Amino acid sequence: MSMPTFRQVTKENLSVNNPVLVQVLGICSTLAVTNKVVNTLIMTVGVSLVTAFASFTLSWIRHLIARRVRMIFQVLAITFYVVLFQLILNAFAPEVARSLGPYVGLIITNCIVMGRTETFAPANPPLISWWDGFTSGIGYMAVLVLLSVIREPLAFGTIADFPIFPPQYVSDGYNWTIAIMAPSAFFLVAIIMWVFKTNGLKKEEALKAAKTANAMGGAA
Amino acid sequence: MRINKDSHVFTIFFTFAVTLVLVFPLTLAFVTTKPIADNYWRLQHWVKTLRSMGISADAAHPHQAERAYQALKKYTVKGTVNYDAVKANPHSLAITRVNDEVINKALQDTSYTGNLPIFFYSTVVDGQKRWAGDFTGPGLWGNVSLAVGVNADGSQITGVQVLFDVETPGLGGRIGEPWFTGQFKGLETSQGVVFNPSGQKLPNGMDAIAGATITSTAVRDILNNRALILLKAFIAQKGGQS
Repeated sequence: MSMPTFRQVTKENLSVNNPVLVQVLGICSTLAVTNKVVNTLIMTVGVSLVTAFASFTLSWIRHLIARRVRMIFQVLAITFYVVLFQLILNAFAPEVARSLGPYVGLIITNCIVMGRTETFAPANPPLISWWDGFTSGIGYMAVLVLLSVIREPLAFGTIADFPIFPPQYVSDGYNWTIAIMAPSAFFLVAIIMWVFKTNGLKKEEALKAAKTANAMGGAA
Repeated sequence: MRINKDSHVFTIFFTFAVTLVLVFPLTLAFVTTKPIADNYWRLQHWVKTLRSMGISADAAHPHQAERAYQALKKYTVKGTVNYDAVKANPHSLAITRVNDEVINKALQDTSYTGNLPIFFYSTVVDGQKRWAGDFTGPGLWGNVSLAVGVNADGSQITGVQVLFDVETPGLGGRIGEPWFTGQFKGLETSQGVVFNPSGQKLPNGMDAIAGATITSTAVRDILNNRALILLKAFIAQKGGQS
């Protein structure tokens, strides 16, 4: 297998192999944090940075890690960056740390972080592993921010705490309680996946059709 | 030199080395950021304790908040609290005065857990006695810590503020928002606090947060099973003094 290029990695992580829509990883936080845009942004920035640096670190020392103890090292590296991120948030953005509550700590067990450090980092050099981790986080961010931009107005009448519906929307109870709660993201993720995959399939078929046409043209 | 990464000795040595290398900067980061986090937590504590007593305070004016907080009379509880015994006999609660240093030390120890010891405060607002306290109980994810204030005879709540919580963002985490904490002002305490039936506002009723039943119940239970019982005992013991 040849070494993946930066361009391939980017394309894989952002679309064809999107961690949420295709690999269906990181679903717990996808459901949990996406009812506010600001929370979603900070959470996904955290996941992107942690995945990037944990992949970098583990790739850098990959020749020294015995395969049977690799998970200990993965958890060590991931925990290190998550705790660092949490300490920085606590000190410099205490309001955000407060509003994210337990979710920052739970990045440690985010499936995307574990997935990238388990599959990509041990087989590739540090820089491209960093890029792979980072773009995986961005692919995750893209989907989550889309969800939160749909959920927050329905739930609280705001986008990033900026009111877009009149205050009566919430005070008179017109807001969607379901949009506040995690299950709404289930429906939304399913719809986004459906659209995404249908489009992807169409492209694939068009590509196949073009190839067959080419091959036939060559034969004729 | 060729390293056999699969040998036991190397694996053990390397795991230790990596752990050490990672723990060292983390400790450094912790030691440097802890005072900043502590300052924030202490300021929040001053402001919210004052607000629960109906005294205006603002985190934007830390010195004013500090002066107003220092002017409060402060007490704590000796030993562990037996709530049933206190309920039966308010004088069985052992209350002693504390100074600001003891409280600051307690705040330093709890800035990441919110597991505050019980502190009581008393002061006079507009010629009327006010009583307040910090009360902590279990929420959904961790501790929920409330500052609860009551009026001179303890018959009405003057304010509830959330000192600490790690509840679900967007759901239980909203207990800190003003629309939620604001609803407690003026509630009657004699029957305990209950959830409002839908569409009604009872004189001792609070609205729960949709989708956050456990956190809402935790707030109600901290109020009924801890705060109101202990504040009643506090007033019974100190209410006679001027």
